[in-house]
Amino acid sequence: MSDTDLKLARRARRGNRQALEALYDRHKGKLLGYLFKMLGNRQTAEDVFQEVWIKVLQALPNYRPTQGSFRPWLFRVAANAAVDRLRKEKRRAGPELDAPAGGGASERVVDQIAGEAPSPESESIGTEIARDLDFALARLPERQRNAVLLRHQQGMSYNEISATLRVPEGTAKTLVHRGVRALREKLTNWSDDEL
Amino acid sequence: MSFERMNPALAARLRASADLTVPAALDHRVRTALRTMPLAKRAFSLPVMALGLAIAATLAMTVSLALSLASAGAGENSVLIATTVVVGYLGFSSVVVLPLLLKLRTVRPGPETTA
Repeated sequence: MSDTDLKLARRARRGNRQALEALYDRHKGKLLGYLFKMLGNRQTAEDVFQEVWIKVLQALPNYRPTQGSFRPWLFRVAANAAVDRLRKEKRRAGPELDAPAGGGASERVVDQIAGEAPSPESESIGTEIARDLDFALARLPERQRNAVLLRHQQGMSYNEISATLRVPEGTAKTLVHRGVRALREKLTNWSDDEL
Repeated sequence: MSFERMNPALAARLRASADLTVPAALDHRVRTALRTMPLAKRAFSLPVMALGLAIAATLAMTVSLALSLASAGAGENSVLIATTVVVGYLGFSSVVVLPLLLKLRTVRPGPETTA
């Protein structure tokens, strides 16, 4: 798959629109799923999704296929756009709405999730549990949330996560491990049977 | 312990959210952008540009020297002499002048040494 991605990316770099659309078709669903969990709000995720593809269009000529596969590069663009959006929302909310310690933009996401109608996905798998999971995810620091989602939602290898987040592989492992531990602590009220 | 083993149901739920359907309107908007928006111009890589310039300069030097030699009466040997001179000059530059320049750069006082 990655080989074909690289071939498509090479053709897209040279201005082949069909190759670009093929890449879009290949990654759109997963990218939206990632952005939705990262941002905690469907509308914001869709806005950022559109922004990401425009950024891809602008940045593609400078993408070097030799530097790694396309997926980490695409998710790096998405992760940066998501973090930018979270920070923008934090600034817009002003300091009085920020969490006292370490929460920042993540707390805003928690607020949004709490007041939001359940997504179709949430409804289908049990609203309460899904919301708790979203809630717990939103409370993780950005980097940990990113790493947990890339690993356990998108199924990326540590090598790919390290390329996506531009951190050493050891740091990627630590981020995932800490994120998972924090998630587990936040979800202690749900037993495996209930889930 | 892996997340899957620690909490398989949660891991499965997270995986289930990995792939979402893109709404038709959004899909249409993005597709239109991908089809119609101009692609950004490819930025030139500096090392590639430098290499290209170096090759062009070498060729130009060789040709110009060969022409000068030919007009001075060197005949068939002019190309050979010109190539030897240019390659020799470039070799000398890279072996003697370049390390010297780099050395000069490294001993140049930085802000911490001037303070």
